[in-house]
Amino acid sequence: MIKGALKLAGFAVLFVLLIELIARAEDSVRYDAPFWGHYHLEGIRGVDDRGTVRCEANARYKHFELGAHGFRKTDHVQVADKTLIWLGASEAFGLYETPGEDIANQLERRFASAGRNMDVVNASCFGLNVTRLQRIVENPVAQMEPELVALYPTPHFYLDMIEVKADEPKPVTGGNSGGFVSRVVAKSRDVIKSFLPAALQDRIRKIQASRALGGTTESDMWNTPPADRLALFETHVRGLLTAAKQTGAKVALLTHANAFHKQDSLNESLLQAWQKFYPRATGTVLIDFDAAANDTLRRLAREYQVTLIDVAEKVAGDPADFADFSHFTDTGAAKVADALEAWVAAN
Amino acid sequence: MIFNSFEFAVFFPVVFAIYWMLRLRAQNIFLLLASYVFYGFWDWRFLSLILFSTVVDYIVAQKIYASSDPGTRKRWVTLSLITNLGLLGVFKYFNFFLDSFVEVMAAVGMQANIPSLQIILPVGISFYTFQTLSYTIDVYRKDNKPVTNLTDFAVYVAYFPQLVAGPIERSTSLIPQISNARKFDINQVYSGMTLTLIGFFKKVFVADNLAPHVDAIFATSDPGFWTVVAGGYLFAFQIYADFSGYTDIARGISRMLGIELRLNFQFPYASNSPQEFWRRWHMSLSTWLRDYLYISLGGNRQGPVRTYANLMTTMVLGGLWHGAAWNYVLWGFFQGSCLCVHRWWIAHIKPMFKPGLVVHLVKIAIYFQFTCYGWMLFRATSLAQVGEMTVGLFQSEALNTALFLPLAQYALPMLIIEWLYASAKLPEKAAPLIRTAVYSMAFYLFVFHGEVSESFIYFQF
Repeated sequence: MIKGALKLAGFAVLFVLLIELIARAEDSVRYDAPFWGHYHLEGIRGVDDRGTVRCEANARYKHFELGAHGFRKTDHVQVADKTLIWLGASEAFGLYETPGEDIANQLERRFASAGRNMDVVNASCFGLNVTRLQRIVENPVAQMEPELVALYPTPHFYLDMIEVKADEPKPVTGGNSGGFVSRVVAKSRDVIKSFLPAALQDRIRKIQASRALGGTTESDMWNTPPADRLALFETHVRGLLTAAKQTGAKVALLTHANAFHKQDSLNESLLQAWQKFYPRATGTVLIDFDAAANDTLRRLAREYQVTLIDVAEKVAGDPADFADFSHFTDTGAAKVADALEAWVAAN
Repeated sequence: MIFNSFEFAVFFPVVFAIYWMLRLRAQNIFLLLASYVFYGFWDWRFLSLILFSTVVDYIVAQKIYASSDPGTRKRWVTLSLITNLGLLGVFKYFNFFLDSFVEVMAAVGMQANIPSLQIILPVGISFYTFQTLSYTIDVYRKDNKPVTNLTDFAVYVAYFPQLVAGPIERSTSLIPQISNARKFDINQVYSGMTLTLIGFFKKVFVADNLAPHVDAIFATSDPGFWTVVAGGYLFAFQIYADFSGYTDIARGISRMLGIELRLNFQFPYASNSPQEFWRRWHMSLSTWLRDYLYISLGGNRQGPVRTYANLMTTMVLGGLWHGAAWNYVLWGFFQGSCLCVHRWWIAHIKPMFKPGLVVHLVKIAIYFQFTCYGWMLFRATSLAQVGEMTVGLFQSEALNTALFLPLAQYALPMLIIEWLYASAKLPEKAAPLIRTAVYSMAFYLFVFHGEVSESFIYFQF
């Protein structure tokens, strides 16, 4: 009995090791990933010499391939008459669309099929708050002298536990190397998430959110959209618009769409998935903050005389357009591309 | 509850842990309760049908055994037949025959306004009715004695690993295993776990990944030759992976509980004739049909014409067993025709080639085409689609290799992994390592590249 159990334990260890090796072999063959070392999405984001957090030049994670400036690759146009810079955070970067169906790719393909040599540069990266967007506009976007710049700021970063500040120069860290982290464990998280019942997932998110709150007291929680955070968002967007206008390009400012606007009923589970990242925002504060920030964006677009593209209104009401609380599916991305295409056509 | 669900992932470890802590009698009571919970997760109301069937067949078998009068024994077995086939008839076939009758009346210009029954098909009814029938027939034929303990018999009827999609067990094999004490054996548990893993791999990685490709092909209007061929090939592997995957899971978890279920599939696409195919495909059904239908009809004992008629009747009814639709009848007719033609052929035509490996492989390749045509009949959603796809076989079309790519992606890994798993020809010292590698690969593909669908194809039967 003991001998049998030991033998089984031996095979179990071998089994786990083999699975880890298979996972690494698959990543290497399919995505040219390093066989050893850490391999994760965060690895393609780094810090430039000005201390700005952004996607790294020529980095790659799975189908996310970045070019010379750390911009997501599109390869439909070789020589372009005009350049459109598409800039935002993960929603604009395109986390969940199938490869080739992110907003920039869809848009460029449409222009190509219409016979327009338009280069759509997806300068977005996940985790880019408005100050980071501004830094990217200042350099390298300004040096690229684009004809058109479309900006998609993400308001909910301003509900983070720590207030958004400009990045400070610091040593470069991250990348796809480092200590041992099991690929299988990382891959398993998504599988387990898809397998667990919604109620259990909600419960886990609640626990994660309460852990993230740490020593936060009741008085630190938001029951209404915090005015100071909204004001900070406005200040940063003003800086962004100033920088964007200084490039000489025509600028479009887009409102931020989420999966809750114009929905028949509130998807509590989805809201909880959003709140996990912003645990201080209780109730519907995240949704209300997004709406208030969109009002700010509308007002600023008028004030700075840039085109407003009201994505929040255009992509709303259909859950199929969102892969989660704010990231687009292929159909959602297509709707954003529709709106941008109309703006480009008018310019 | 289905095997590939979160509920089952919680249910089985709990059942397994408690089960092995109990002694035989308590173990069987617990197994029965677990089986009812398993079935009740789908719809607890239909547990009443299982209970009814259990009680009737338990009593009937006792009465048959207690009587020496042939007439009395016959009356009791007839009651069992009426009860079980009656349940099947009402819940599975009533609306089908009614609708067909209305359609026939409409075809001759008569309007028949007969309301159909608002009933749903109880999951697994075709399986457990056949299983209970075999028990009473075995007792009637004096091949087996009746079970004295009602709990043991109820476990035989409702044993959860094989309740909803087989294998259809025989009382002579399963009941002694239920009635006798089981001993915990870690090697058996390990063996059961690996078989379960292979089953999940087949179901989740192979069948569920092939499903959207098959659906797309069968949704194509006006298909050409290659599209129809691809549809047949892909569905052949989808249904095999789905059903044999279910069987492997059922056998694997049962083995972990110390109960061995019968083999249901043995590389069926390596068959070189219809006869061999039915010895390798859904073996528990084909042997059931042989033992309780074909032989009851007279088998091959009453001359060639009756033999062909018996074969055809058996296969048409076997087709109808799969589902209450005309395409299943047509599929059964096709299978019966293949068996009859093959039987006639080997009796009347001298072999043109000497037996050998090449001839054998050619025969396998040829018969596989017939199998796939049969699967096309089986998968079609209407007789009109059967016609459309059959016509498509004669419509030329440019070869689109992309249609066949899923075979390389999903079917080929399955064949390799299954062969390595089952092969007895692996080097003795390397075999455990090779098998562990196979399990790792199967686990990886099933967990990280699997598609999870709601149900198994054979649940609908």
